[in-house]
Amino acid sequence: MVAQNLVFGLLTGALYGLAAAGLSLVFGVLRVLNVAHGELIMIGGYASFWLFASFGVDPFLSLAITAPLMFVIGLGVHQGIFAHVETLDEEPRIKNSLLLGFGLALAFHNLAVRMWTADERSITTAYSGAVLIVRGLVFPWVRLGALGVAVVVITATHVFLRHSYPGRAIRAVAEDWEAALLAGIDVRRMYLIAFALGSALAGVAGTLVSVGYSINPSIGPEWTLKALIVVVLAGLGSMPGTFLGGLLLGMAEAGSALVLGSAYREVVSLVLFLLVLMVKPQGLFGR
Amino acid sequence: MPDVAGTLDVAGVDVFYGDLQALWQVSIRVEPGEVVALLGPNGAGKSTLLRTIAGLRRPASGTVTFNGKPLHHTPAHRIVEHGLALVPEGRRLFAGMSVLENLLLGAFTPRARADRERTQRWVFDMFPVLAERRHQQAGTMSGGEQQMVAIGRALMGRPTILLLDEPSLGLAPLAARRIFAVIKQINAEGVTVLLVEQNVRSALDLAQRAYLLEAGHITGAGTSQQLLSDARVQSAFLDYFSSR
Repeated sequence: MVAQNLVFGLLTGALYGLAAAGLSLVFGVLRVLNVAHGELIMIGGYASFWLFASFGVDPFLSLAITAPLMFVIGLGVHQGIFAHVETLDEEPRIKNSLLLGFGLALAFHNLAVRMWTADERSITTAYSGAVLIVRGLVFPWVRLGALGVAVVVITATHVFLRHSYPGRAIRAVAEDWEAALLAGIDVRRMYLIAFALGSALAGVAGTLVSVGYSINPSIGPEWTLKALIVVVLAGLGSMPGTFLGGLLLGMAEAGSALVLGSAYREVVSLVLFLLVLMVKPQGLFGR
Repeated sequence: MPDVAGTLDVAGVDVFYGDLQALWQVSIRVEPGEVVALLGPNGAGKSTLLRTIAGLRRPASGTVTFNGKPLHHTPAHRIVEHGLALVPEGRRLFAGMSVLENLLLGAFTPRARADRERTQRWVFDMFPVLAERRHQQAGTMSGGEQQMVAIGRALMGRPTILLLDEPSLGLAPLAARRIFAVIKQINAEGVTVLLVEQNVRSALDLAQRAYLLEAGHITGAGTSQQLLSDARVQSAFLDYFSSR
């Protein structure tokens, strides 16, 4: 019973980690807090749902469409909205980005209601009910698949940021954008790429949510909050660290649901959030 | 190693911070192969002038020309490609990244990237300690070593002119001497140098010429010998620094 709960917590935590990865990347590089990140997850989920419902595209295969699609949407959102605040000083930049993000979240929410109604949706494939049972522990295959996709995507992003020239340039901008300019790096271009990449990560997370769990137009804020808690928990600057933070949050929630009852699940994650802010504000794995 | 040198020409530059004017009709000229020092008290606008040349600030009027090409409308990230690099005050390393990654990023532009391995050998020859510590996190090195990384990173962009803003600031005397020796060597290998330095005597030892910048105005210019004997330089800087 305990172990089974932790297994589910871990599987959910993988999605928290993936949701947080995009938010962390955008915040770390642009110093822009995109509170519409959860809505990007929601839109990604609907994109896969729509591909499945209308054309029968397998949700895991549809990642090949939703991720690039969300990358392009990210390009548009950045150029249309966040590009206008990123030249401001850090403090007004964060404040204004919050306002823009809230507005954007409302817009996405209403767009989703209009396009797909407010009904709860979920992708139910032929294999949705299938489970793997190991020593009495139940592992739903779709959630295992989601975990696998999350690990692959996080690893790929990590390798890109660590070992490619554009990835290094993005990290350089995160560390010191002015020094990056002096090195000949087009900082605004890196902002754009980082934001689009963050949106693509949100899109992947959204697809995995729609297949393993369910989506509706109002799930955005909840996912933004989870992602934010993970970012604070893990700290900025490391993709694996962020992912680990997600797993931790998922298991902490599952564990607390077991001990205190599921009514306290949200409370526990917020208490964790406050504790980390008080004790180790740079996060568990942050610089 | 460096490409064909060029002349840096700053003419009649006015720079503002909001309503506050920081530079007033500033004109300086640096010829190929020279070391030119820019001297002046704190807050005179020395860093502002270097940052304006490097494209981090826009002049309200006046021109910055290098190699015959106007640079004052060029975006900062494109200026490196013209062969002009600034080592900013406080070094501004990518502290969480390795020494090698800092150098790689210095060679980010296509022109520099094509030649990266050759330039890297050149930088490692000049700073053997960077070769030894290439995998160390840059932020964990000593001040002198960090300055070497900062200079090395700028050199990775293959500049024909190197702008140095207070390279010895905060360094122990021995480390500072080492930095001055390196600047001399870089210049001997054909890189033009424009140097802002609080250690006036060392700067004038190194430079052939110098400008005096006070309260945003160029108030003097001449060879290093002339300035060493200039009463204003004596009273304003040399006495102050020798008394420290």
